[in-house]
Amino acid sequence: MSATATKAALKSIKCTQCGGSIEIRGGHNVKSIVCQYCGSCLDTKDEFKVLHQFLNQKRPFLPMKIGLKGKLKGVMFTVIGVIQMEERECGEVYRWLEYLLFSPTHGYVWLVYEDGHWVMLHEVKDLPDTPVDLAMPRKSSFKVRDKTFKVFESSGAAISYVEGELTWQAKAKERVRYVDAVCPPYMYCIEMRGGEQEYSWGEYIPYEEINEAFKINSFEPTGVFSCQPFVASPLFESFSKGAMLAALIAIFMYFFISSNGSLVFKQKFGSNVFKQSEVSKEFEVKEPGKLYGIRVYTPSLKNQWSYYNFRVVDKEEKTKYFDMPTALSYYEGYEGGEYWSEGSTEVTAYFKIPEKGQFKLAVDGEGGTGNDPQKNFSLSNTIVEIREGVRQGHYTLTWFFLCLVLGAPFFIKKMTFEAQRWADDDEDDD
Amino acid sequence: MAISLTCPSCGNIINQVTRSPQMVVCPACNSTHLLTNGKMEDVGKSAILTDVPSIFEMYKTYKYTDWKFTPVGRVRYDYGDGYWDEWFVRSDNGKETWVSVDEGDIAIEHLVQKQLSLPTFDEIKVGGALMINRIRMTVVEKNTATMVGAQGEVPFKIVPNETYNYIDLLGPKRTAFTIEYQDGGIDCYKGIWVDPFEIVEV
Repeated sequence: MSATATKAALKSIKCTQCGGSIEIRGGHNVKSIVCQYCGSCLDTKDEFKVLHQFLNQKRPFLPMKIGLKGKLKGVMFTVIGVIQMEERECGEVYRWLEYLLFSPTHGYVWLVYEDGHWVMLHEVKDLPDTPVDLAMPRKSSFKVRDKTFKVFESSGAAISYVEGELTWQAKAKERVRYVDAVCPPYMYCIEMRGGEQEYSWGEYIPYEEINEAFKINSFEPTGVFSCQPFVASPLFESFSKGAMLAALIAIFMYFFISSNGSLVFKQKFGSNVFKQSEVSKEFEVKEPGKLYGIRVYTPSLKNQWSYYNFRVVDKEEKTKYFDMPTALSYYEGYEGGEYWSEGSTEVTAYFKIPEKGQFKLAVDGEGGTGNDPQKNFSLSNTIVEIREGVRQGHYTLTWFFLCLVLGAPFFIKKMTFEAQRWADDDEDDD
Repeated sequence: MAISLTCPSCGNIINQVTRSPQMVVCPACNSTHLLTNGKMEDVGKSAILTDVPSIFEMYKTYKYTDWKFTPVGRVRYDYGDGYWDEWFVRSDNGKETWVSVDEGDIAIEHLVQKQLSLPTFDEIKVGGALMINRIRMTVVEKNTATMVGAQGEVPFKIVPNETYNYIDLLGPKRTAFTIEYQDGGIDCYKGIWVDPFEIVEV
């Protein structure tokens, strides 16, 4: 029993059209080789006979040469071919390069190069969870491998340059229809070439990684690429996310902590408080440690100011505990046909009383329209409320704003980056 | 547990690791042996498979998601434009299955049905659809394969230069089917297509 083992692979040939030397670097799934000297497309499955010729090809700038070797994702690849694609839209021309790489262990991958950006793609058998057609609108989404992809572009392009080995027999100006969908750093592409539909999975590769892998000096990328991930230093990102979390906790605490308390006293004072001191009815302090809020409301205050001095006294009106001077002002009018106002007709002050018991408020006030108090100034209504158990959240609110300011730059940068990703690209690719 | 066998041709000790291989190829002298009741009968030389780099190597352990397996045998087929390897692999739990590798195209498959009611090979068209076990599958390849040779342990008798027709099908969620038309019968292998970047050496 014996059999012939697989034939030894050819490593180089002479172009059957021009005699130029052609290295063979790909595997047995390579279907054609385009001679770099004469543009002849040779059939690798039929004694390298000339299938057709790519005439007058203008070689574009190639940051990577055929034959280069480099390790990507831990796998050694060799560059075996390159095509330039061209898309014309509204008078603009967009061009990009697609390098075909081969590894005997992992097969074929594409390395797409556009505006300095690199994306590594390889054919997969993963189909989208929902049907996808080639005319899907931008930003519509579908799932592949449990990741949600958004359509970035549905369009068509034509081959404008070919060199080296390919896994099909390319033709001049051959057109492809495609859908590029992104879930940074991943890309999912559906490509229709002839009657065949292919699905590819891609990942954005930083240009430094490509430069290091293939020992080249490709240019620094410009703009934001469709599947380029937003990258920030881990420290900056962690700090910003931490600050934003702290801001959320602070605002939650603010709403949780702050309270208007319960009403324990309400009294309306007449205009007498502006003539002589008045004493209120009693109010009770049950829990001395709690914060009390005194809200003064003057509904008839308009283009005036008023000043009150509240004194907390015991019910016998013999002992004064403390004074609470309180000022209000409210002005309004029209200037240049526009209404304006400033100040407020209400104010709240806070106090604590060190002991339990019944207390009263002694009030006297003054007011006016200018700088000096008016002798006969009066307001018909001054409403005073005292609330028990008031909790202020001012500190937590301060923390909220502080954390927001510290955390916001990262998110603003990220949003700007995303806006650039999805902005229409008006720049011509030259 | 491995069973030690002695190669009748060269005396080399071969460790049999699969449960019931029919054929064992001696790694030392490349003699092919038919294994019957624990005895090896020399049936000739197998073709030496050209040692081209592959994603797998014999007796190394690999992992795909949480499934670990070790290649213990290999059969190579030529399909005209090239060749592919069918790796006979043993799982951690002792189950044996096939992993086919054609450059970057990898499928894990096992025999599911010996007989299926399907159109004849000539009636099949690439790009057409077939319903198999109520799964709509697309024919992605239709070809004829020739056995080149084997290595290690394989569960059937290998006959170099023997040919058979086959079709490869692709379905939802990477479902793979291979239908082999051989000796008037149809063998159906079911499995999944695997991304080579998802396979790691353990």
